[in-house]
Amino acid sequence: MDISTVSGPQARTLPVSRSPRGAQQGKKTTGLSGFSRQRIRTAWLFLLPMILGLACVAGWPLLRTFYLGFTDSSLSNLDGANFIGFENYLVYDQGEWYGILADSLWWRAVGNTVYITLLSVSLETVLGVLVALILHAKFPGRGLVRAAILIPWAIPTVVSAKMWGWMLHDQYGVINDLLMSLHLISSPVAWTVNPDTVLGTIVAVDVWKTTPFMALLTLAALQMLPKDCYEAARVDGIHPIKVFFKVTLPLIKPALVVAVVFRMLDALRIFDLIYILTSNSEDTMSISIYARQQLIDFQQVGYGSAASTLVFLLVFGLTLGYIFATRLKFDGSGDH
Amino acid sequence: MSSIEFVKLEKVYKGLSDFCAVKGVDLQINEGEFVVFVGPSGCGKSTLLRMIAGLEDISGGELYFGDRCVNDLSPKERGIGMVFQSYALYPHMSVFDNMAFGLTLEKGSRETIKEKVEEVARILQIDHLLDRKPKALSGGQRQRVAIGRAIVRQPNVFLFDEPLSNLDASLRVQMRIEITKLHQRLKTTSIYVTHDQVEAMTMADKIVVLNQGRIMQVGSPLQIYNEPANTFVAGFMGSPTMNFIDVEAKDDQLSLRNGQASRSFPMPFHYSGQATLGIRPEHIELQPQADAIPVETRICVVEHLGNETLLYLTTDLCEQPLVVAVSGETSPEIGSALSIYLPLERCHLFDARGDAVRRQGKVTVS
Repeated sequence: MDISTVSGPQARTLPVSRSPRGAQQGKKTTGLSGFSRQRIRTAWLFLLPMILGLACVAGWPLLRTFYLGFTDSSLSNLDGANFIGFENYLVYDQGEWYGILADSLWWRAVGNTVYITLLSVSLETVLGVLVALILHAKFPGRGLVRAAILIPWAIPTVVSAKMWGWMLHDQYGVINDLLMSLHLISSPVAWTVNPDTVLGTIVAVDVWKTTPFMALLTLAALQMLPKDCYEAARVDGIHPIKVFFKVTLPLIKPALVVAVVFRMLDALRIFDLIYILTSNSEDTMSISIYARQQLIDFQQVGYGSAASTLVFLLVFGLTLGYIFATRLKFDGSGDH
Repeated sequence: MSSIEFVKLEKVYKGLSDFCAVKGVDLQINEGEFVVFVGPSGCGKSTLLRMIAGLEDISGGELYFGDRCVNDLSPKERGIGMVFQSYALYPHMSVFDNMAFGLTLEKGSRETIKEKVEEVARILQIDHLLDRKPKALSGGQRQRVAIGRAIVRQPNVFLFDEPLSNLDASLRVQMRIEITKLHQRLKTTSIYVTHDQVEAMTMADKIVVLNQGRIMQVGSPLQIYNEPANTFVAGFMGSPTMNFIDVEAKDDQLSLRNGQASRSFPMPFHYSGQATLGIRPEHIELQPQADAIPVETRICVVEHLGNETLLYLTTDLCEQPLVVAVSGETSPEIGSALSIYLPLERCHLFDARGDAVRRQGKVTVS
């Protein structure tokens, strides 16, 4: 830290410390002045309550899950568990591979999760931007529409999943009824049971629920944009679509990247929607559902914890990779 | 290039209570002219400019470019180039891309676009900055880029919306001269909005003084300065502002409201009734003059500007202190008495409504 930037009481001693003699004997040449040391101490003091809280509610369970993943503990035998190393993850025994990484169901869950995440996040990003652009325009009743559009996001997932479950019901569901009366389908479709439609249905409901979130973040970014740039573009006679791709999109990209990170984190851990809409179907099993099944249904705490650890590592790795990739691009363009 | 004509232009903002920003403006701007709209903030000058640009709808009246009514034409169809106060550069594009963005639509190969941009960049001396992003430029450089972006499209009309108000004083003077030089070179019809009277006086072929959505006066800079049409123009143009003294005029005689007795002077105006006498600080004399009104004053404040000294004088003629500009440096004692002389030839007379009263006989010379 440069001493000359220090203000406050220490600043008065500056002429002394600047002279060569002062610099030789002064403590300030060690780098941090007393003032900035004090500021750093204060900062840590402010952070302490949150760090303690997080350590209790996130740090401790996380560490315990890590540990349990290396044991053979079960729900009935939590304390008498043995340490078995990586056996929950992968083990070679009598000519066969065992463990989560050898379980085809796990890989199916990974496939489902990645499929849902990619499709859902891409769709809701595009839709969210579109909705935000509409909400950004001036029209009568805009405030009301802005509030109304948030409703899907405000409803708890359990409630909206149950609601969609009824709407999509193969016998009594309103959606089948609607499509039948429009002659789009000839017989009712079991949307949440049929293996061909079930993943698409989950993506559709997830998109319905989370598009408002993307729209809201995008709208906030749109409102920060300099208005005069758009007037300059109007004067230059540039087509609105070109303005969107050449001006708006590059300028809201930083906000979009953050919104997509949030949504990716959420979508990769998708649980409640699938659990309620399709319960224990293997066709729709996500990695979180897999981990819960092992932990609760099969009461294999050790194996389930190992699966949970893998969920954590997968989500962490994919998100980190995404952040890294997008930030690299930004540094290249020098906009941040 | 084209001439511009305003016929009863109006701008009304609809709302809970309609706000009329521009009220029936008639104006003729000749081809190649440099016209400056000047006025206090909220006078409608920017609105008027944006109506010419096509960024604001025209609520009433007609706007002609040449003999074509452009009321319903888009900004692009009007063929205008605009420079914004905040530069309005695209922050994520390089200087080159900023300038070329508007060109890419028009027919022309990449080569010709490159040539055009580079030529304009050379004129504006920003050719070494073409690869930079706006944030890596200084305020003056950004403004050059903004001007370059407008020029490169070779518009019929240039519009400037307070382009220099974000720059520091010395840069402002420099850019002012450069814009003037640029206009002399390109001879494109230009409309320039400012609240800075020095910019208006120095740059304009024709000044349009606006107040509360109405044109107060149109004229050359010296006309505006020497023959202000009303007290608003007289008070707005010129720094320090004109001194105003309430007077009574009758039968070509001028009576000053003077503490005990009123004194009368013959005046070169035909007017009877309540009036306001105006005289610029630099026209007040300290030496006795023929045909001048002598006034006894007391010095209350002295401001040293280096090249001139401003004396603020209290009198019993008016509540506001009179301001006198004296060239060079003087250091009179505060509180001391001073006799000043208001040459009648330099005085302006405004009637009760504030409109200038025509001078009889010879016209004021500057």
